Amino acid sequence: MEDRKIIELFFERSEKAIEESEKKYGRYCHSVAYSILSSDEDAEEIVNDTYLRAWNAIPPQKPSKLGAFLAKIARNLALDRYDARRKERENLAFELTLEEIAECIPDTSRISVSDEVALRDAINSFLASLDEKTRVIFMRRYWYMLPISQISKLSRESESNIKTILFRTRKKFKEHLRKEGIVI
Amino acid sequence: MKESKDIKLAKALGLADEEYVAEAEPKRKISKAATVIAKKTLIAAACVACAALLAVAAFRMGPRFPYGEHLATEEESTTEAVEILDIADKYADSPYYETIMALENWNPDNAISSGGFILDSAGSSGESSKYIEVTDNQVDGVIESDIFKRTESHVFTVTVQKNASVGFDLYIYAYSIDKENSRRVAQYKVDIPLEGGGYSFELTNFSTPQMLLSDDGRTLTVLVYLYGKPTANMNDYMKSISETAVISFDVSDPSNITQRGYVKVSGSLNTARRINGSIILFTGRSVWRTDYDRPESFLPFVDIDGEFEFLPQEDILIPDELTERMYAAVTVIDEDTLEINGMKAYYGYTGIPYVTENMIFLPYSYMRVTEKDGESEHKAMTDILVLIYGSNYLMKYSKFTVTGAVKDQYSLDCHEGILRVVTSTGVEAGNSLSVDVVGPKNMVTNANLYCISLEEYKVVGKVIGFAPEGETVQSVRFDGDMAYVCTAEVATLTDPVYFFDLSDPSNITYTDTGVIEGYSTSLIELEGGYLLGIGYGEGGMTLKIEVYSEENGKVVPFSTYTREKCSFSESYKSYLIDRESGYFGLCIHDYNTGGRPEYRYLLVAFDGTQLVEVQDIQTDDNVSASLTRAFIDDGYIYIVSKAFFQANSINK
Repeated sequence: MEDRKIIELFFERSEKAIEESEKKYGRYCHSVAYSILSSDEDAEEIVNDTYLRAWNAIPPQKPSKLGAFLAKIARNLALDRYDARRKERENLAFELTLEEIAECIPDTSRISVSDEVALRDAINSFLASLDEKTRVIFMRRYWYMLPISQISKLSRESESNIKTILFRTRKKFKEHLRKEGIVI
Repeated sequence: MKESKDIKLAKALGLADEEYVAEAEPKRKISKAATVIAKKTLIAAACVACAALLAVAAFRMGPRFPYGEHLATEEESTTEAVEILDIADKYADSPYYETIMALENWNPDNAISSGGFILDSAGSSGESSKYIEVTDNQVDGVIESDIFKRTESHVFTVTVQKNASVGFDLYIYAYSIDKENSRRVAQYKVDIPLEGGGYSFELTNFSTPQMLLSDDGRTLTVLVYLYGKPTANMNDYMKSISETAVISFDVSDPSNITQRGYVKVSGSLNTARRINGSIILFTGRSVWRTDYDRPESFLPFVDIDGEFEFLPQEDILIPDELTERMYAAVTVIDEDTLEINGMKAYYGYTGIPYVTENMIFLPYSYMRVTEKDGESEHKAMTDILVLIYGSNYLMKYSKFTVTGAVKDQYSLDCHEGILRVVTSTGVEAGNSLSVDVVGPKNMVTNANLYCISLEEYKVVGKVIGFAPEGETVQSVRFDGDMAYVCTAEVATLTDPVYFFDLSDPSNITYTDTGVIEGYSTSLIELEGGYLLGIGYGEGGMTLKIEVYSEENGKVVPFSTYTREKCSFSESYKSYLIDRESGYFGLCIHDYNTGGRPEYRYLLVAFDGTQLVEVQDIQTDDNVSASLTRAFIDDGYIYIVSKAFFQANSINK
């Protein structure tokens, strides 16, 4: 079903909206959550919570890309779940990804609404400045939290190339944030 | 439960637009370009099949339609050409037509990372009766802005702090320098000009301000980034702009600070220099969301009490090939009156400026694409724009082009009329490039050194490819006729350090240390022919401070100090460099605690025989290593950061 029609179902408060979202984006959201939690059970719970959150958000929100909208919710929920259970179930591969991105992004512990706007602006202007290949690799690593090996296969680049592209882009990201007035 | 910092950091990237999330969805196993080609091929194949079926009656059907592939290509190119023509038509009469067309035709594939900007400079021993230098300036007498400054008796810091509502305030703090009796003597809330030109401005949590202090210690100038949103619609972040406020204060009585005046310039704060009563301000602005009907979205300007005075086109320089939709603005401001005595803007010149007493060197690194044997070959190049300036003028002098990209301000140095430049090079067939890449076998990554005569406008000496293949420049230090360069293959964490004799640019000689574990991100010349390197040891999470000595024209490791399991800032300004006392320090994020990592200030000493750790002091956890400073005065180390100030007696 088209996204537009699924969103119409949300607006009509029809539970078929959840059914259609599950059909179209269930596996997608599951994989986003799984890459963070490394547990099918936890990922499944996250996906169910995602639909609940989406149900409460639409309306009034009307996302232009429903899949990405749901994936964002799933990602944030998975990050929260991971943080809460970190001591019991550490995902070493995910921890390494967090360390990498921590080099670039400033501490948001005291972020206000206006700061989030400035940061969103800066992040998106940076992404816009990248060529498509680099941007996709960057997002797959730090948004989708995929391992290097998987990114390598998807992009048809060697793992060594992927690592150096990421290293280079992190440095560029850091420099971009600094130029936008966001100091690390 | 309180959210962990790194989880918050991961969530921050969740602010990316949904189109980028969708674009990177993992199920897309082939690139978009390949998908388009595949689709075109299918269309072409289908058209061929149709044409074959119709072949029998073809002569009765009139003209054949072109293959689908060609049709798609023609449609796409026609559409693109029409869009560009529309903008060219619409703004044909605009005085900023040149700028608009350059922004429309920019080529991001040839952009290049110029490396991180380091708010640091080399040693300056300059002292005045009032003002005491705390910043290790690259050029004596050219004072670099920083987050703190001091006089003989007081220290000033400036910081942004959250207020009771949802915003931030800017505070100046003054502390007395009095050993264990040191105390805060003033906390001054700055009155920020927040409205103007239809925009409401605000400080942000990322507005790290900088400051400059006059030689007599009486005038403090604070520089701070302001984020502006349209007053008519504060949620329209797509129309946001940025400005840098330059605010002057009388601090002749540190306990009674008074605000004098201000001026605002477009762009985010980059850095500033103070020399001979003038402030040279460097700001930068990304212009990725341009609306040519809103000049403030893409043109540099000065904000005079809410009225935007845009820079004329003649004062805006556009390079032949624009690869970055950003401009760097250079503004000369009178330190006392804040009058603007000159302003120029340079699109694409986003590199780190190197500033001498009367010249400014702005590097611009980009990709040059040539065809060789049927393949595209990319080559990193750097244009260096040279400006001359004075208290009431700023003008272009010359431009030089070298192969490779410049890492930071220390990669440039002017000595006796010769500009020396160190670059990293790399060539990769068929792909876009960055000079930090250690890539596939067909790419050559290396380093070059150039000597350029500023009077004869030509290269008078050079060394091409002096590093092992695959290595890039990590740190450079010039010292008169000598130069030290550390190159490294970052992925393997090994480096040699090169020593160049530049006394005769036409006959440059050099030696190296051979491969050493780790690499230096900063090199500092010391007394007695020693060289200090600060950087990474084996393993990546290890701090390595190493002293090198020169023996028989070679640079050899002399003494090494390492600290494992810690991170630190590569920002040169964050290092304490006290050559006179032999003390060197920096703030580290220490993971050796076994629990939560701590920020600590590490002080080491070199007495001519070895490097030893002198002190390890716990500092404030609310600041980062890059924003922590320290200085030594009469047997005490004073650690300064934002609203944190601590005095410790130095261990004997």
